[in-house]
Amino acid sequence: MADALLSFNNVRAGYGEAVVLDDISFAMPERGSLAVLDETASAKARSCSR
Amino acid sequence: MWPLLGLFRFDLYGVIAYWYALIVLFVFFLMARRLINSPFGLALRGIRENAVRMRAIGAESRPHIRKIYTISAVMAGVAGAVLTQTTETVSLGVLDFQRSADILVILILGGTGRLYGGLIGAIIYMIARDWFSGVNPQYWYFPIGVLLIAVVLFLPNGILGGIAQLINTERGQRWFGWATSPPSWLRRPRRERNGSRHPRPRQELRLAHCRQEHPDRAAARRALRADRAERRRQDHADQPDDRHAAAGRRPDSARRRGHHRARPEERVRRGLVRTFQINSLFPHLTPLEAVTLTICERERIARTWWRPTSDYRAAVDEAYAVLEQLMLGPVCTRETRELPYGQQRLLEIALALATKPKVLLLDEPAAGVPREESSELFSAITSLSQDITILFIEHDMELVFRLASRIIVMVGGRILLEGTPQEISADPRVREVYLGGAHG
Repeated sequence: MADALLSFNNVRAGYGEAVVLDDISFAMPERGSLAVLDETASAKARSCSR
Repeated sequence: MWPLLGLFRFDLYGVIAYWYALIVLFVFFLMARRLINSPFGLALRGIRENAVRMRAIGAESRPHIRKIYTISAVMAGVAGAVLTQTTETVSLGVLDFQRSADILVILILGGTGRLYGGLIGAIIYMIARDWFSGVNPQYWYFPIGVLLIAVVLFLPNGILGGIAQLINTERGQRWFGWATSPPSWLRRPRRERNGSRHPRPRQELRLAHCRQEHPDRAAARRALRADRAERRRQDHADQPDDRHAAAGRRPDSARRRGHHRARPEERVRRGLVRTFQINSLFPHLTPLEAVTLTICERERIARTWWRPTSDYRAAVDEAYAVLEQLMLGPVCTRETRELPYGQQRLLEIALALATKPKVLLLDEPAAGVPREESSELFSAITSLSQDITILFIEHDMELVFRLASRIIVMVGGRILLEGTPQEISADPRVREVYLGGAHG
């Protein structure tokens, strides 16, 4: 995305052996608001804290 | 000994020495007072209150700490020089433990972290020492120790802190009839002050020494610790030279290319700012002080210690405007710890906004906010999205669909769907899992 301010490219993260983000890619456009819905809090919190 | 300034000869009674020491004390006290009321003093208070939060507002604490250690050392050095000059003696005794312990006792008695604490503590200590040594010349230190223990037990913030605490209670207001006032730069027109003076909420229920831990969260925390330890081990095992050589770079080129993990304050300065799921604020600072501190750090004026904060009127006005935007104007001169939880959540966002972020990460902004306080929070957050880019995490579906221009739905760590709120709410899989088939 050309006007993306922040982009996630193939992000993989987790706690120990538990993978909570598996090959995640997305981009955030300028002046937009992006919400992340997930059944568990851990994946969302991980994407915010990385 | 030569006369002081070639004019005043030190006499046997110590009169000249007394006035000389008093004048030096007065000069340095004025300097300390100026320092406390400067942006640098505000930054020091911020570090004392919450060092973690300081990094999250883009502040580098280490230079501040280095500077105040240097200033403290200079002051201690001058105090030592005055002692040597007035007593006309230098012996190894000046380096003994007792002198340092005396200073420590004086500070604890008066109240650490307070400008007048040292003065009050010194007066109390000297009176107590003279009195106790008159009663029992051999064991006069024993009652001083008892006094110290009593102060630590019953007045953990020192005698001055205890008085300040008493004044801020209803009983103290009745007894004294006046309250500690904020610094002049924090005072607003009387009409606004009167409007903002809410009664202190009565404490109906008090919980102490409670701890609740979700088993899954505890397991996740253990796993996280193990993960970090494993990563450290791997970092040590891989020789940096080998890693960079394999990548075809010189060892230090990775850092120059930005291939290192930026520190939190660096990220903030680049425009990536986050709020915390659990409030991480400055409890004893007012919202206006906290936001002004953030702006001072952003504008790199927090390092100045010779000019008072009131000189930076633009920073204070901007802080007030940010607080007004988030409906915190009426409470901006109350201590943060006294604010309701919903307003503290708003202050979290205000601190983030004061850094002028490009991207704002909101980690469950409505978490723990009671229903009756959430409408203010929701409307404040909704108004933000027109100016900056927001990535937010939230369980409250009402807020998600009201604020988000796009939504990503994740399942099992992978992206299931990405689209507009309308597309997401119309998707049968999402309706089934998240909305219970009712949203629409």
